[in-house]
Amino acid sequence: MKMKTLPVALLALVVFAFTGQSHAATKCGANTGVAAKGKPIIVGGIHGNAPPGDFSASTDAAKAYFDCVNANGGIHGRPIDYRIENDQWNPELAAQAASKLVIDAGAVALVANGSFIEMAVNAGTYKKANIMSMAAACAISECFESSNIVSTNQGPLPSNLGATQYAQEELGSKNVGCIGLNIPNNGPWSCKASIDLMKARGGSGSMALLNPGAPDVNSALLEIISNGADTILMNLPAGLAIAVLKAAEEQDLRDQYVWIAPTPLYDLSVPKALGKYWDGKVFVNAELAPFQIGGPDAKNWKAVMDAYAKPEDPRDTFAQSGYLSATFFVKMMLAMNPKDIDNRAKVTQAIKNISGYRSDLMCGPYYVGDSDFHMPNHAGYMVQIINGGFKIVRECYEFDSAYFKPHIAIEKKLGLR
Amino acid sequence: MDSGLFRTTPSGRAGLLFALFAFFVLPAVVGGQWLKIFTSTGCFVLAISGVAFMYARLGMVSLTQVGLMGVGGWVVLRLNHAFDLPFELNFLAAGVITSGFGMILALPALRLRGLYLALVTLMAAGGFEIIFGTFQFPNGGEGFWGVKSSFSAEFRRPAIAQSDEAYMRYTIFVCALGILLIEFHRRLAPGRAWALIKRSEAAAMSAGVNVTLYKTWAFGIAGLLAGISGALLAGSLGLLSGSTFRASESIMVFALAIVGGVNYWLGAIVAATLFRILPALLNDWGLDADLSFVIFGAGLLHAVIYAPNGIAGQLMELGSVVGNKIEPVFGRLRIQNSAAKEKTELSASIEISDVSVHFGGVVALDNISASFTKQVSGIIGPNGAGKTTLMNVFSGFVSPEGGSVGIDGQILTELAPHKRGHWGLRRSFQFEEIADDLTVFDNVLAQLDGMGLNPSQNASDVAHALDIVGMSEHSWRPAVELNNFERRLTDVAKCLVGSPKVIMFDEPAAGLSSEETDKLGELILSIDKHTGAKTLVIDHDVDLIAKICEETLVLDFGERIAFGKTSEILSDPKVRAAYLGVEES
Amino acid sequence: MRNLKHLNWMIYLIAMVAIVLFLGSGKPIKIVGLFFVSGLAIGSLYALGGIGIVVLYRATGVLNFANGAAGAAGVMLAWQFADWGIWGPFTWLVAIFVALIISLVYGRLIAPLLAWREPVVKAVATLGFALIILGIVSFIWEDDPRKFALPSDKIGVYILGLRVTVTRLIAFAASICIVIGIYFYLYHTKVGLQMRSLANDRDLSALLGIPILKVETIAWGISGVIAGFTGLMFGDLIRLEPFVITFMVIPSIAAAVCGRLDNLILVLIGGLSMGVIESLLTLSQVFKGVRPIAPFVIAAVVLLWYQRGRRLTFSGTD
Repeated sequence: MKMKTLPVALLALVVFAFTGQSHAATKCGANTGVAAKGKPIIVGGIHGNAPPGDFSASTDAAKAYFDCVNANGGIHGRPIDYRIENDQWNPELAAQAASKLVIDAGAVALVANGSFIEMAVNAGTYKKANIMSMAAACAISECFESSNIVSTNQGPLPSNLGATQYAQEELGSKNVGCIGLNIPNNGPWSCKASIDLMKARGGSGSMALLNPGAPDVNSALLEIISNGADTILMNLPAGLAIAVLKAAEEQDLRDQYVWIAPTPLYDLSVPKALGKYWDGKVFVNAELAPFQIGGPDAKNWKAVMDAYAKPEDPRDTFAQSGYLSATFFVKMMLAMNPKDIDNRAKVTQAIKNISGYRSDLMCGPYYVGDSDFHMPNHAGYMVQIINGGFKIVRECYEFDSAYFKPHIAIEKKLGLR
Repeated sequence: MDSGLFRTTPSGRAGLLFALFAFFVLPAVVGGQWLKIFTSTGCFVLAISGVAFMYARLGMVSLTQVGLMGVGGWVVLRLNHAFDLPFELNFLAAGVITSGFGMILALPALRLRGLYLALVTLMAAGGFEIIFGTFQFPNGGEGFWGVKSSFSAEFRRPAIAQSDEAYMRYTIFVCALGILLIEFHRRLAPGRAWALIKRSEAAAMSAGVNVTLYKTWAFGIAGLLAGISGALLAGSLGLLSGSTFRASESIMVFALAIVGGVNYWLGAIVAATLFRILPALLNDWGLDADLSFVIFGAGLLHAVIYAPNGIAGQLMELGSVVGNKIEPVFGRLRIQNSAAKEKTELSASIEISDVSVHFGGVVALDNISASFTKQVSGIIGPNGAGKTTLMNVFSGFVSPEGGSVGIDGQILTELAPHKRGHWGLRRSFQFEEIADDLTVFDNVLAQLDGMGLNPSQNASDVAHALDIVGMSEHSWRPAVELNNFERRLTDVAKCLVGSPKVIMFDEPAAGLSSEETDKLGELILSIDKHTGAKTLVIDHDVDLIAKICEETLVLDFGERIAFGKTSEILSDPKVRAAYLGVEES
Repeated sequence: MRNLKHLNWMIYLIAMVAIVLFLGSGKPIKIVGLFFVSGLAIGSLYALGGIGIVVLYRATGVLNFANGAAGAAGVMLAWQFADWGIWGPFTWLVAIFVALIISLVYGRLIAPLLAWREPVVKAVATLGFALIILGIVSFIWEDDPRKFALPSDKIGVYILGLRVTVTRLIAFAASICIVIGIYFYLYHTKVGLQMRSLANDRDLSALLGIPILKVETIAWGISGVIAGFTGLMFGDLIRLEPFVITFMVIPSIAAAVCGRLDNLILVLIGGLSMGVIESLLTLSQVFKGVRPIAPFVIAAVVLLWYQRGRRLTFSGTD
């Protein structure tokens, strides 16, 4: 629960201060401990914050990291001027935001974008302006199938695939029913890959599409069941997924089916929202390392968030992926010639040359490359909702689909395999 | 007539100046983001003008304008991806097709009014929302719906407007054309027809206005403007998303049109500014998107309660830029010859044969027959006798179950209601149906529209009629300013133009003082001298009837109880019993 | 005349049955039954929303777009209190109370200022109010997955193969009870009579000495209580998201339109049949994608059917 009231925030700060909690040491950028001065480097970020979902966690986390970097020597001594825009899931605002950042402000790159629509609207703009977007919270196909956008998160296609694969291998699934949104570059695009996986492994699958605003989720559930599914894959934003599970709870269907979902249900408030009924019954694919893994990057992420982010900023998967995009960006910039960092073309080229950046938050290496598609993150974890929290049931595993053939080819070429 | 069409008013001049400023200056001085914002705003100015004019001129509410924008956007996207035609052709197709959708919406408008009409359009908006949500917008895929699950195909902008700057200019230009289109309509016959329809469909029909046609035409224009604004929006963004065209957006747009002020071009601009520029500003200033809801809501409440003419209305009052919002189109045209028209000598009688009207189980008229041969005849009877119903049969508002009305060889009951006006039937209603939105002159002129006569002849005909009734020096006053008697006189003038054959007066003396009643009586008596038309008068003022009507028909409970010479009728004991009652013995 | 009215009802029912049979043909009865009951469940929510709208409209002439928003505010506060550990039934009372207050604030302070405007303008003003409430509620409670639960969710019965929780039964029963209750109130109490008079002609009623303010306050109050209850039901049975609950007012208006904003029984029947048709459309390969359009199509057709053969002539309200 996040109640946006000033008293709560103040109280939190006061509690913080009085518990004398010392922040763990942060490690940002050049880590000089000296604040950066000098001409700012302009970097942009676009997120979507409006019903049905709030994707602002990624840019919030990136901002926290950039603030930390600015306090630690910046990029070659210069601070990052990170400008965030909100597209409110409206294509007009998304286009305006891109114009403002790319054309008016002259940003050298975009970092930690998170939106349901921005990538579709602006992919062409980015290509024309020769600017790269190192996104972090992507949910549509354009994000992964355009030349100038690359994301640290997986998006629905791999995440659903991972869940389906686990269910087929460990939970005995033979017929997967995918409930998705009827937005073509989201629901059908991602459900199809999972259904193809089942077919390739001797099973079958079907999909039922929901209109995001529809009040009645029951009929989609009934449709999937009447298609003969034994496993229900909830390819939906958290709010809708919870509604579907609630409808299923009403029907007492829990033990008759296997319940799996992609990353949106990996959110700390979800187990409580689902309640005891679903304890141990829902399996979720996590795109990045679950919080309990606690590697050095994960710890640093927590420390940076504690030190530089607002208390009400979410600490979820998108916050991790936003942080990750920001770290990769800074790493790349620090490796560049200081004279070149204001030159957008040079920055774009340097981003395209990124290869083999590793982090304990991500299963595989991060890379970009010069191609019309980018999906560096296509391996993940599987967790189970149990005892009011999440338990890891499978650590980093590769997702198996013909979709990744071209990606694997590039990885081989870059020597990452 | 044409000299009036292009006349500019102070408000119009201000509007043109503003358009020029927006066209030349704005795109050059703003950056990339605001170019897109202003272009978007321009699209909505166009769409909001469409919905505002329908409400202002006709009183019709459409809560689906944004849905129609979606249709226009859809068409232009589909055509763009399917064929290789230039933008302008796709754009026009979008306008025409959306106009067609708008006209389909007019069908319920013929039967519904006010809130019910608004709710039907709201259902349509809900329908559009579902359709766009389900089938999405074309982005280069195959099939009728043209949707594929990845990267949108290229959108071709107009050849002369490739850059964002040029496109903004293009949008402003189209926007100005759209507003001018509405204004031109308002100044010509459609404007007069709409004003009459707004007042009452009955008044419009008796003035010879084809109500179906003009209502459909209005919806068609609103649809056209919505369609081309949707097309422009598609061109600005290169693609569209269902979230832009939700039903809630259509309601918002109508609400903001009221906030802006539906009677002014400035109102549409204010509305579009609130709709698109205000949220962008809030965004710039870092305020939460949810707060814009609160501001909208508060603005809407404020406007609805305290500013019925909208923000534009308040601004206009402050700036005194415009005088009346009803501009006399023809100015102080000097009518050279207010010559009398040729009199139509109507020698034939008015034949009412066995007319019966039933409303469900109630018999309103029971086999009424009468033959009016004199120049001025009366119809009297107690309340509920069926007098107005009989006139409604004449006018065509009620179809008789049996019987017919014939005059001069023409069976009146066979003609469509609005055609009876053209034939020569005139009616002055019980509650005079003068359109408040028009000047006295235009009100009378409206009677002549659609008769296909010579326009300059019409002007002199109108001037002559106003002369006869004594309203000449009030010709250019807006009807809303007139008092009761003046309104009645204007109504009478309407009955005198265009070679009337039969003029019907339904309680013309209601609400008049005895002096005014006398004057009215004199006027009615003089009608024969001026036009040669036969006159029928319903009234309760027995003195008036006695004075002006040579023969009188008496109705009671839908039955004819007496007919003949007025003086004899009035002393008939049956008639007296009906009017005054009989003592119970 | 009376026969005509009954004829309309017969035609409607026959049409509905025909559509149901058409959609269900060729499918196993069990499946059809499942979707049918599921449709009744969602339909009773449409009907509940529509009844709330019509109750207020009949008494005040105001079509209240803010009904959903008031309910949303109530149920969000109820969830918040429950989250803080406060006893369940108290939170439900809070929800109803909050919606009541919101309704009264509008009804006493703002609506009288608009009493002389036409119905469309009055309706549009309530939309302004709805936006304010929605904005404030969305601002206070950030987008987060939440669930609202009632104890009656845990108990259920099986009808035609579908498990129906007691909560759904309550919603359905409540809609019927409200219809009956309002009928008795309007036709058998003094205040009810005054309300009907007010709806007929406000100015005339004032001249007759009917205490306008008191009667309107009661009407807004009753509407607020219904809105609060409906909000609880929507939050439990649909989704606990303020935006979704607020804009449920549009399909609710569709159900209200079925009853011509007047006859509560027709609103009930209309709402139920909308839900059933929408649900059964899932069985049709052609229409299953657009099934949420069913309420709007039905409402439009019903409205046009009522007005068929009519021609507008003299000015006045419709």
